Amino acid sequence: MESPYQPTKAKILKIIPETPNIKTFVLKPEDSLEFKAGQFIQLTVPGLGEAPFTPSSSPYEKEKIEVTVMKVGSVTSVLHSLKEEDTIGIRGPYGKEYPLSDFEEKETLIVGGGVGLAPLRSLFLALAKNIERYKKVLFCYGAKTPEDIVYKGAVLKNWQDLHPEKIHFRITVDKADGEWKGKVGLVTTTLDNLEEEIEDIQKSPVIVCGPPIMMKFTTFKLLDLGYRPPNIFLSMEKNMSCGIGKCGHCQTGKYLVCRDGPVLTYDKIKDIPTIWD
Amino acid sequence: MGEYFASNFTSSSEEKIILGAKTCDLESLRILDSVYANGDFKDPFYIEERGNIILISSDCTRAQDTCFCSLLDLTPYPKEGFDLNLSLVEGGFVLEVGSEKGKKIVEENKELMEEAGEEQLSQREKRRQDVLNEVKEINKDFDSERSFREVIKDSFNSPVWEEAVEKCVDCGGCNHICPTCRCFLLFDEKGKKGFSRTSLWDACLYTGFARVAAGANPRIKLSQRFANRLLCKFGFFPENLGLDACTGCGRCISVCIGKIDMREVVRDLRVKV
Repeated sequence: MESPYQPTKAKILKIIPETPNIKTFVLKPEDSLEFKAGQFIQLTVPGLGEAPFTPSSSPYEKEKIEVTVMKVGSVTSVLHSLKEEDTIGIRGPYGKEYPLSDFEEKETLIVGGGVGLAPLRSLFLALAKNIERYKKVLFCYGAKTPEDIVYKGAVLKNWQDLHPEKIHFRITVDKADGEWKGKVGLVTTTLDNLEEEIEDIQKSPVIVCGPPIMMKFTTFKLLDLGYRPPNIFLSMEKNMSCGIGKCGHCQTGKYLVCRDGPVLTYDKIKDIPTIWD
Repeated sequence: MGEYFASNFTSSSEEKIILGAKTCDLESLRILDSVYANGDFKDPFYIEERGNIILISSDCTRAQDTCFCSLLDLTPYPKEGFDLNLSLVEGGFVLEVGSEKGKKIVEENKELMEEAGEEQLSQREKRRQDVLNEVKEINKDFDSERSFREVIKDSFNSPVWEEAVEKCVDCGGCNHICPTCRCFLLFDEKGKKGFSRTSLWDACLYTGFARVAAGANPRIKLSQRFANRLLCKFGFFPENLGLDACTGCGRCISVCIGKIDMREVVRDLRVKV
């Protein structure tokens, strides 16, 4: 009998160091694993544990899957110690995807902080592939220092050259170094003068992913700016274990984040106690 | 990384009989079924085991001080969810058929039975009412117009939870004995040929239950975890299923080494929220 909890194997084709504590793993799953932007997968190191990640590669890429991992806990530390050609376990995809069709004809705002850029990269690549469907994309991103910018070449150059007429960027760092010529300030400062970019805030969607504190203050600022709670899409980082709505670890209010998320709109979660903790 | 692993999840295709389950046990299966046998993903092991079980329930013949099914509009005698139900009467049992499976067992064993008469049926009814009255009497101080669900729904920030956990030692006993608590942890068991994936019962009262990799914990305080346990039963499940995930079995009360009685907690919430 096939177990829904059983991972299949995936080979690590390549490991790309992104920042001092973030690496991107390019994986080739033994059985094909197709996901939609926003869904997540579980990576397993046998005997050492399993952790949930949202892939950072384009959902249109069928041959391989990329996962960007920050070294923060036990499983991610083990992942960081692995080498190219090693094999790990993978299962998924789980959860719900971003409702891309709802973003069509709209001015879409993306706000990312730190490693929160990983799932947003997948979303961004999906939007960019069919950019004709969308009115505009404004990509706001903040990292601690220039060294901490994930996908640096893409964020600072390649993505900016893709569709400059439709996709705009606002990049900031909390603290500059000698080389940095860009903006300095918390990611929330990229939302200043937003009306210069987004004409109809009332109807526009915004997708936010980053550390809890960043999500909290970004959400409050977005509300102040006139964003409507059902249009604010927040990535919920919860302790997803089984991934399929059985084990109960990610229960948050009336939701199971693995089943109902991992992205939930603000109207759904605003009254749940300790939602930002 | 040479070691890879197998699945250690198993289910048995053997038929099993559960004999003597009470209403509180039967009702809990609705919750377990809703979790494991429903949704986009189903647990095939649970479904197979469940399908192979013959449920022979029985009426409660007495109540314990910890019983409170009546507060949740349940009765100490099963009304549904069984294959066969036994009701003790003088000289034997009244056997009630609750499913096709149960019907088949009766048909195959007719020589052991005779038709129940009026007298047995009225005796069954009287005994049922007596035990129901006993449960109600035990719980008369806890009965209220305001249901557990209504009282607990918006209570997360009540100071009552802090008081309630003064005697809680975080042992997770209530989680583990509860017939509706169904949370588990996946883990890899080391064997001779690498690792096998299996699962362990987990408890939401444990500190690390909801903690994420970087250390953030949405329920870092014991009072929050204790509150969330009941909010899951009377909030999460009613909102998702329209059912309370508590059947009034009272086992959480008998198991608690801190003598925490959730009926008292709810009574305090009624007063202080």
